[in-house]
Order: sequence, then structure tokens, then C-alpha cells
Amino acid sequence: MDNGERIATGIGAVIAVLLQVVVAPHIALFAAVPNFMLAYALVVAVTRAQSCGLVMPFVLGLLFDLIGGGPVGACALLLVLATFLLSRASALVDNGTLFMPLLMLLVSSLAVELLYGVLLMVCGMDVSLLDALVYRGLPCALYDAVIGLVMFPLVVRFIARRGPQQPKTPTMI
Amino acid sequence: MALNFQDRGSASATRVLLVVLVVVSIACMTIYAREGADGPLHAVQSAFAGAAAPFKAAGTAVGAAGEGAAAAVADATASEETLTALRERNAELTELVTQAEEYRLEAERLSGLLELKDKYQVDGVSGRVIGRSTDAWNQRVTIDVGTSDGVEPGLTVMGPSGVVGQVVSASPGSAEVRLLTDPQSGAAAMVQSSRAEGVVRGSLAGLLYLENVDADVTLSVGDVVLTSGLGGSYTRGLLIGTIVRVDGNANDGTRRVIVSPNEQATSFEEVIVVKSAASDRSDNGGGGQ
Repeated sequence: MDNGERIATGIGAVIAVLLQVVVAPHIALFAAVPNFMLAYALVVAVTRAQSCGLVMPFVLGLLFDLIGGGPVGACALLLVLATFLLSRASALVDNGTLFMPLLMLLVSSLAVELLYGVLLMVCGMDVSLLDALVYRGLPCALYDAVIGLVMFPLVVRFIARRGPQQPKTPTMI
Repeated sequence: MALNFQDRGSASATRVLLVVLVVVSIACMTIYAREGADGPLHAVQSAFAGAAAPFKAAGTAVGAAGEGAAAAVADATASEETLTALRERNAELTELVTQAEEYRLEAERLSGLLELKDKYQVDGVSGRVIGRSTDAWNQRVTIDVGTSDGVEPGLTVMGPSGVVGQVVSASPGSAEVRLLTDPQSGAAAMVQSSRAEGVVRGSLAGLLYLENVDADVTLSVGDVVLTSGLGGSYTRGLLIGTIVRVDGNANDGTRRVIVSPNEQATSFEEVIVVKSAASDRSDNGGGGQ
């Protein structure tokens, strides 16, 4: 990732934080509040599979925890793990179509939302796993995936500058 | 080959970074879970919430402006025939009426708050809701009064028709209120008619459940539920809501009681932060209610 892409990624992250604080509470559907920071980190991981860093998702997750009311470190942990795994998976299974990135976005956002609920339960929230899945995990994951779908072309255009890496792209591993 | 080594070095650096960040995250979570509300991470979180409050307020203004913009777009896309002087005048009058209606509704809400304040002889400070939860898992609102107005964590917050939540953190100019409907919320409560005590808890479904009530107590739909003040977390004797559903019977260990919350997170705009109420003062004076 060159300096230009790094700056663009940083600007995108700042915009994601602002959207989360200013816009997200006002576009909640029922109880599902979109997570712009999660969607942005995942989209960057999908589109920049070979050069996706871990610091940006960590900082975004930490800010999410600090601005929101959840345990500090929970979202940071999940974003770091999710972006790391997603970038590896994306490099392996991406076939150049839009379907695979979107599928990976949906699966990873569902996993992150659900695991976040599990971490909240571990930290003392008294709810059932089924409630966490039905009332928050699934609707929020769908919403995040839609947000990711909107972000995807923008990230490709302004940050990745080209689409996801083609399959069987020679790598130096 | 050199590139290969470089890539391997980069890969192992990434793995080291991953481990470091995971360890830092888990350490933060552990400290946060074990420290009290006065701990350093809670203090940092409170400071961030205070710093984010102006942005949340801006979001509220943007939301209101968005509605106006939508109306303006609807006007702009109307056919040419509709753009007559009469309709312009009509639009002006409509705007005035809308504004007057907004003032009337605000006056009505404030009047309700004042009535409630008089009814419970509440000594408190009124504030306006300037922000909502930025995530789906917490039911919180941000209000525009803080420590400079005497607001402290732990104080009870009332809406126009009763208790809506509790202050969880406060900065000089704003405070975060955890709503009763938050799954992490719990208020010591009692049923007004039977004086039976229990705990009202929020849930992800947005419902309030009355739990830990003695099994031999009969509960009926319509029973009024008040704060009991036990544990000192909420001011005593304030209205929480009414029982709207009882699943199961007395002596049934699985009985589930649903209480209708006074306000939904999106339906109130002004609140009173209760510093003390008549019930507290009578308790302090040696009397009870």
C-alpha cells in the first residue's frame, strides 16, 4: 500500500467514524443500527486483501467501543480478527466476481455482530444467544452488508483503485 | 528470492502485530470488566462520549434538516401548475403552522414534565436529548446537561410520564443515560397495589420484564409498577409503567411479567435528571412512604 492509498484509507476511516456518530443513530431500522466502521474495515479487507493492515481496524474498533457503551476492546478485537481472516480468505477464494466479496462481507459481518453479542454476554449482559441473533445479530449484519455494498465501489474507486485481486494472482509466498 | 524473504518477513511482522493487538484488546476488555465505574477505561470512555456529544447533536440537527430537505425536494419536483403565488403563500402559512405546532408540542411536553416534577416533588435539572446510541447493542441517549449542572452518574432520569433510565456517565456539558429498556439495565421495583418487590429489566426485544417477584404474589394486568429505591440505584416511588401481560400464574416458577415502558428511545425529547424526590426526603427525615 503506497502513501496515497494509506492517506485515502485514513480519510475513509475518519468519514466512517463521523457517519457512525452523526448519521447511524438516525437511520436505525427498528433496533438495527448500522455499523459504518465495521462495514468500512471489512470492505477494505476484501478489496485490499494483499495489503490490508491491522492497525486501522483496531483503531476503528477501539473508537467504536469508546464512543459507544460496550466493553472497551471488544469491537477492536473482533475487527482485528475479522479483517485478518477476511483478507486471507479473500485472497484465496475471490473469483473476480461481485458475488464472493458480498458473500464474505455478509458472513463476516454476521460473525462479528454475533460474536460481539457473545462478548457482551461474557461481560455480563443477561440475554440469550437466540435473542442476540434474532434481535440484533441478523438484522444488524444485513444492514452492515447493505452499507458495505454501497461502500464497495467507493473503496474500489478511491482506495483500491482497481477491483479485488483476480484468482491465482501470482503471490510471493 | 530476496523478495520472497521480504514477503516472509512482512508476513511474520503481520502475525506479531496481530498477536499484539489481540492481546491488547483482551487486556482492555478484562480491565474494563473488572474495574469499577470509576476505573480508568470507564473514565476514558466517558470522556470520549462527552467529546462525541456535539457530533451527536449535529446529527440530530441533520436529521431534522433532512426531513425539511425531503419536503423541499417534494416541493421542487411538483408540477409547474402547482408553483403559483397562492401555493407559495400556502407554503409559508403551512411552515408557520408547523412551527407553531412544534412549539405547542414542546410546550405540552415541558408542561407534562413540570406536572410530573410537581407530582413527585422532584428536585432536578431538565435537559434535552441531543443524541442516540451509536450502536445497536446499547439503548442510550445523550442529554445536554452534565456535571456543570450537577448531573452525576447514578442519578435517575424521568421522561414526561415516568422513569426512563439512569445516568451512567457525565462530562461537563453532557451526560449518557442508559434507558430502562437496555438489556444491561435493572431497576429495583415494586408493584403499587401489593407492594410486592422485584427487579425490572430491559431486553433486546425492547420489552421490560418484572422479575424476582415472590411466587405467591398475584399480579394482574394494569398493576402500576414503581421504583422501590432498594439498593439506592433509582430514586424511590417514581412511576416505571404498568403491567401489560402476565404469562403463567402465581406459584409458577416460570411466570413472566411484561411491563409497558413509559417511553420508547425515539419518543421523548426532554427529560428531568432527578437529584432528589419527596420520597427520598421523607426517608431521610425518618419517615417512610
